[in-house]
Amino acid sequence: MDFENTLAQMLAAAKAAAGSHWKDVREYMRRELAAAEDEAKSIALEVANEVKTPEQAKIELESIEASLLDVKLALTVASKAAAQDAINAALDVLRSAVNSAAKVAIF
Amino acid sequence: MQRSPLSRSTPAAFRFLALLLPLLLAGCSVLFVSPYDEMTDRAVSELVTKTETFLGRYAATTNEMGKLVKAGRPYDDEAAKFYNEARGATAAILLRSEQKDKNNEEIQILKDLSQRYDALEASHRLGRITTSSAAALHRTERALLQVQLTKKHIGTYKTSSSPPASNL
Repeated sequence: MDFENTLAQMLAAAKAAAGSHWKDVREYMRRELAAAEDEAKSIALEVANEVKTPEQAKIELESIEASLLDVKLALTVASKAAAQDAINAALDVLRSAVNSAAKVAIF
Repeated sequence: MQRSPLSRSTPAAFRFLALLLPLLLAGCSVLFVSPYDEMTDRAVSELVTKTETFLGRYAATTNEMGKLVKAGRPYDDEAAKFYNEARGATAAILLRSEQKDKNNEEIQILKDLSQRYDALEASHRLGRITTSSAAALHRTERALLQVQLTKKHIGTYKTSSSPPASNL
């Protein structure tokens, strides 16, 4: 069994598996951060135009601030999923390499 | 001094493989995130649809200058009913999510979602709500949907894809 080659294959598999999750979250994160700024501006303009009261704005802005923590939670899940897939992809390669070297299905 | 078998002199490749060997021998895979659950995903999507229908009727819209374009509807019995039902639906999804291991983030987002409905209702009681009033609620809903998307994509790196399992 060629350990160096197996390791290279494992790392490549891990990188590919983790990368698919990064593609999912990259645009999501960018959009959320940009949107929060626009939302705060809209609320301020609506108060200025007496569409809503300052009391309402306070409630809504506090809620926006708290909702950003949910973005963090969603990103935490994505990073955990990426780690999970990366390790499992590497394990799949290792299992396959061991089975090939042993010439029987051990795992 | 006796050196550990996994000492610095051991090639990196061998050490890395040795670290993974216990997992390999156990014949298992690691699990950091609870598996995708289609029922949760569907329930979240239904709640989002109901919320958008409500906002379409009750939320006023403003232009880029913050001036009123379309008047919404004030808080009334029907609105109160919606907020209660939305919190009820959230609690039902939460109950299901709490039965799963490795699901802390989703559970917290669902608890937060209930608070977003509280905040929107509190604002609505004080005056008209606009599209921007629901910004926080939308963000929390998107976070929940993003978690479902992430879970759905777990394991899709495999060439032979098997259907995602539910643990309920």
